[in-house]
Amino acid sequence: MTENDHDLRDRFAALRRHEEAQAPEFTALPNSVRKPVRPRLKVTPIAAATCLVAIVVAGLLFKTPWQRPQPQPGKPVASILEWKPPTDFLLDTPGRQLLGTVPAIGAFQGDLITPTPHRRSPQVRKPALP
Amino acid sequence: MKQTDLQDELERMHTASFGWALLCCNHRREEAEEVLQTTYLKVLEGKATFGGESSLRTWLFGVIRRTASEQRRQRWLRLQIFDRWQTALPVSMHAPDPEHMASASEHSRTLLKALAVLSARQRQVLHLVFYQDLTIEEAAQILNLNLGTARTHFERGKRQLRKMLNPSGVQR
Repeated sequence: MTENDHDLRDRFAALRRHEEAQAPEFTALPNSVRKPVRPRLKVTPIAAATCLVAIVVAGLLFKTPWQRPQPQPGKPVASILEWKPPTDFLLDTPGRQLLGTVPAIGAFQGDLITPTPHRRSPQVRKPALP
Repeated sequence: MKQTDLQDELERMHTASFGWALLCCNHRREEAEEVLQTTYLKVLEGKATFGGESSLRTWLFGVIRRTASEQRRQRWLRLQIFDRWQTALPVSMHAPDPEHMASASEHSRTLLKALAVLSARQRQVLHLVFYQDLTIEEAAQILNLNLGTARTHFERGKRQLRKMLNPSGVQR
């Protein structure tokens, strides 16, 4: 900083005086500082470990083992080979028999239009040159 | 340092802190008050602790600067997320507060307009040296800059500021 900076210093000093006059009271600001601080919940590692052990023990005690469903004595059990799904009929689409078989060559007796015998187009005979 | 001593020190430096907070918030009074309040809370609740490596004022100004940056980031984020659907025209985050400008004298208004043109670093260094009467070394500490960098910002900012304040071209 040089001595020639006094012009700038004066300008900043004027701004400082203006802003200092506008500054809020200090007592007005830190009101919220005095607000009661909420006690922070302190979870000690021992308490956390105790809770974890209690949860595991409770889980072991009340755990019901998984059991395979047993067949009832009086009820016959259907074999999987005999079982038919209720929506089986949906698989029967129209024309399925045609699509499922391979036709033999020459053995088809259907309604196909027999091809007309090929006719040769008449040729115009050119006259012989003299 | 005891809580009461700390509070006394904060009170002693309150007007200077307010001036610095104003600059960090682009002369927006409400934002500056909020920043100052948050800073005091941090200090008195022990979230920001004075290590004694620098003067208390330098340290406090550093805390104010960081708090202002945090709040500016939060405000920007809020603007991006919530206010983008609002039809109101976005208010520039860098323009000086028009209310503050209107209340200032003609002399101060010219200075504020010229300061707004400078880069943030240049503005901050000049403020700390001329407004707060700190040395460039202390300004560098507050802004977390090298001394050489702070000096460069100071010289360039000063030259530019003088050019804007004295357009007749009187170089001193």
